[in-house]
Amino acid sequence: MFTYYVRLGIKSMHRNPILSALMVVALALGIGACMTTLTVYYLMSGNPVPHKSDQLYAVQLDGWDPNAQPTQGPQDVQPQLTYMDAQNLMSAQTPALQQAAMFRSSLVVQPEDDDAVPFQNSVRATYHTFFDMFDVPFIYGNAWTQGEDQQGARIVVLGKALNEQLFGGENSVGRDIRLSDQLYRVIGVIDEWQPTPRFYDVVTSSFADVASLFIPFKTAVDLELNPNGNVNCWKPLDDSTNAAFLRSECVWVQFWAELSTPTAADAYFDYLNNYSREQQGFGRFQRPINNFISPVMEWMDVNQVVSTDNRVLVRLSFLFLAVCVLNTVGLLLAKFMGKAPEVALRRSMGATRQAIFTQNLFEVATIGVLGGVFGIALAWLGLRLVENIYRGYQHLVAMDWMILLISMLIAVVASIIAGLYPVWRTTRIPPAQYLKIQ
Amino acid sequence: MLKMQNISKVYRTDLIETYALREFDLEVNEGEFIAVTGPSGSGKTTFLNIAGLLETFDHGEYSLDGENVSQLNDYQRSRLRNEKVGFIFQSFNLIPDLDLFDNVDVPLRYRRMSGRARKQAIEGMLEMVGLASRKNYLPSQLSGGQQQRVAIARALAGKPRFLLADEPTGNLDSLMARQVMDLLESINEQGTTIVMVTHDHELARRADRNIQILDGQVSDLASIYQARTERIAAGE
Amino acid sequence: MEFRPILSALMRNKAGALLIALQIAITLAVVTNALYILKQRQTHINRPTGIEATADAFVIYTRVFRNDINIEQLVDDDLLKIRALADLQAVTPIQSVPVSGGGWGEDFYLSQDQSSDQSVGFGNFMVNQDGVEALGLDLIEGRNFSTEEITFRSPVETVYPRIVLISKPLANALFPDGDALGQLVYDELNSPHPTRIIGIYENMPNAWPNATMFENSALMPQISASNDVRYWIRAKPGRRDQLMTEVEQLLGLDRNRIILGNRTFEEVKARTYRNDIAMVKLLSGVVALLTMVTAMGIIGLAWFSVTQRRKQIGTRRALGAHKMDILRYFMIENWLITSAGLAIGIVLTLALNYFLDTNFQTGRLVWYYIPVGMLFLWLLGQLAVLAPARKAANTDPALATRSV
Repeated sequence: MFTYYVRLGIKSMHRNPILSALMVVALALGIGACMTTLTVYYLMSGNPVPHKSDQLYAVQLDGWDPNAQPTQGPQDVQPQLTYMDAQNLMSAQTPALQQAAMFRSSLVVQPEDDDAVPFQNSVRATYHTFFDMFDVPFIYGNAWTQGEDQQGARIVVLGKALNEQLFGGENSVGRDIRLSDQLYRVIGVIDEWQPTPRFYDVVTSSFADVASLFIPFKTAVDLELNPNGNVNCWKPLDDSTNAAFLRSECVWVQFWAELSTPTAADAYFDYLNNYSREQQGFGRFQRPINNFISPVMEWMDVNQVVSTDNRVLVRLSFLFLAVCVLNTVGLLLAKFMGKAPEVALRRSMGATRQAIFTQNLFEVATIGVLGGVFGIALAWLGLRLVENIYRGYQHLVAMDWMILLISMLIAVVASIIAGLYPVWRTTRIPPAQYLKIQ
Repeated sequence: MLKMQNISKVYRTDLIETYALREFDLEVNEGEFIAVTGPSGSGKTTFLNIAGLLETFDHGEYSLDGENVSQLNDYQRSRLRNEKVGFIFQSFNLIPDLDLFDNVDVPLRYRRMSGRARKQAIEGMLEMVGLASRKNYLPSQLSGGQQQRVAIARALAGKPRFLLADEPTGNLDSLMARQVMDLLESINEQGTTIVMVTHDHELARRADRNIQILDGQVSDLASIYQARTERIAAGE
Repeated sequence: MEFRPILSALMRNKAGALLIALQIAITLAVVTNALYILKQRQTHINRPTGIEATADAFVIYTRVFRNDINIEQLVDDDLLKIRALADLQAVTPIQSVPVSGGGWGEDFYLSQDQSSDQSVGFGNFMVNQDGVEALGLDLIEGRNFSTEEITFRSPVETVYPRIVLISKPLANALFPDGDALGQLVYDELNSPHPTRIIGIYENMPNAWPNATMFENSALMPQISASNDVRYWIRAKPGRRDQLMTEVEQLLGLDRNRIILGNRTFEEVKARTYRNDIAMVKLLSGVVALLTMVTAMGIIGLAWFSVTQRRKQIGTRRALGAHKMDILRYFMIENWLITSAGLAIGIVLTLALNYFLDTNFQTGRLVWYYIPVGMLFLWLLGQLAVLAPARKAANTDPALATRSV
């Protein structure tokens, strides 16, 4: 019976090819539009470190201008720390399993080959704990050690692509590389790693590429590398020397702590509050204590990583899908009205209502499946379009099995909603009325 | 075979009530060939629709092959229709985009039958109406008479004991009409009960019994029995 | 032809008419709201910049990566070479670029003992004496910098220059009485070094398009002597692209630095506004597709109803209805359905706007978007129904007597 119904469905679509095509196109457009916006939304709001996102906490201290507006929630407090506070926390014994301070900068890579043109690359200056905390996968070598952090050693961890470019993908551990006129020794090469969103630094761009160079924090500070992100100051610097910048109240360092249990999180939070009180004793932090620690997903919310534009587009695209579904309902009603004589005849030959329902459901399902398949194809095109018009979104336009599953689900639900009423109506056709004249 | 007692059917609109059948009584015996005549609007088609379980009625009792129909729900009525009743129509009502084979297949699809049994039944039926060689033709490729023969094959494919024909020759010229009539007679001889609505008195006379419906009621039963007696007397 | 028979015919196919009406309603809601957001973004993107050189200017970003380079010497050399190019109108070093999204923010204080929240923020742009011409600013009061007033600012420099040019909006924010010219301002609290406003230009935005003080900017007579060497270059009209290539080749010869970027000012703006531009494009897409789907729905259903009613139409024709009457019948039918849809649509539009505004701060819809949207959909409906209606009008009257 299955093949019979499929055959009848195809024949019936053949009978009104334009009407059938209109329905498929309408459904496909609706599904395509929804899938495009949903994919971007899904990836924007995705969990970049699913297995430990509830153990990694962004740290905020409120040591801002005493004359500025009072702060309420974490969205009001500066998202970054001063260099001083980052240093103090990194060197203290805290209840955290491990902590990492970090900032983004850039360096000029000077290939050994004199003919090769030097190029700029972004670099993340951080601590050895970064790699373990965020589960960064290594191909060659390892993260540097605590000792090397303290020395400010001239060592670097390379990204996979940069290692390909500079060393042809070989194990480059132990080799030297010249960056902005300084020699660094390669200590490790990491594998493909692109948390989306790039949760540990959402201040400037949440969906940018991960840096392809990692160097110890102290090394970067010693070499006076400029932070390439937001630097916010409320108090003038003593002078324009780097030392004055480092001891200033300017915030520019991102700070993370790994807290494996809620108890540890509470203890760490208390620790921060004590730290603030201690600083108040030194004349800093002249505001009410208002510190925050936020696990990854909360941090994404605080920083509005999913843009409101995308949220608006998701809403609008669902309304668009609603119009497409209504459109299909209308066309199906019309179409099935044209099928009334056939339905009447089948009823006269003893077809039950259930049989009529099933037969027409197959037709609707065929349209739904076609709409779904074309819809996914359109979504793919839509994503290419999004990629094209939003630069830097290349990580947001990938389709995975989860998205395909959701697409199929939306396609099925949409076509069932569109088809159920028209199909039900066919079972209510009074046969006698349609048999006399055809 | 068919027994209607005191059947009434009313069509209601906002303004008026129309009785299509009024206290209608009729009994049809197994193996009979009955012709129903009457002017348009007299209730012929309503009678046929009720007889074939396509429509319900408001009052009265109807039993088909011993089963009381008024108690059945839509599902049971559909099953009964499928097993016991075959329909043929004035305008043939073949499904235009199915070929002859698939058209004859329609009633068989709604009962549990193996593919092979269906194929046998369909081919047998097409053989009987002389169109076996054209089983893959579309209805539009056939003449009216041929189309009606396919419709008959379809109506009989499920071996119903009861065939309802609504003006089966109305759209055919007289030669084709006669052929179709011959076919119906031979079917009747093989034991199928036939009720045929027609306004062609010549064809009606070829039936075992003639019934005239007037204003939703069987009119003047006596005259009909008389006609029948005359035919017997004439040695037909 | 009167409405009543059309209306009663409609009532017999309630479901079909209702579905079209609902589609029209949602379409109105989405189209008006989308167009409103879109228009806001366009206004945001196209705010006047006051930079007359917009179409002729570009910025070249370079970075010196060797430590032993004398930046002051390098900049002087660069300027000499660039000035020798025939296509050049004017060139200035610049440490941050207007509308680029990244720059230097500062505050001016009116006196030394003011508390910080009474200061006025602005974007600081360090240029030379040719800055005003290179940017194409309209100097409305005071004078430009002279060549002698330009100094190099080393990375460890603490003191600000003694003179400054500011934008009219910044002048108004500092001195609402309009007497900013010649006044003294302070770059920080307790600063012993006041800065004098020597000129006011009409307008030039700072680097941050989403800041409330976007119009507040100041030019300082300094050249930043850091490793990041950037020039704002204005070409003679129409010669920008040639000059860009020439300058890139010229500076690319230097093996002590790399060219990080070479962008026209229009590209800089487009990068800054890329999310807004993307939103404009995507919303246009939504509006276009939605219009298409709705039109398709109207055409599909009308076409079908024409086919279904062929015999009836034939009968009307046979009874003496003109083609025009049939055409009008379908047009009026569509008009009735559309109007019903629009009536629901107005409510839906306001509801959607309320929802979007409360949740995503998209702003309150300006009233005239609704009538404009309605007019558009009325027109769309009439156009969509035209083809099926004409097919109906051309129905052969002989159909009436023929059985189908």
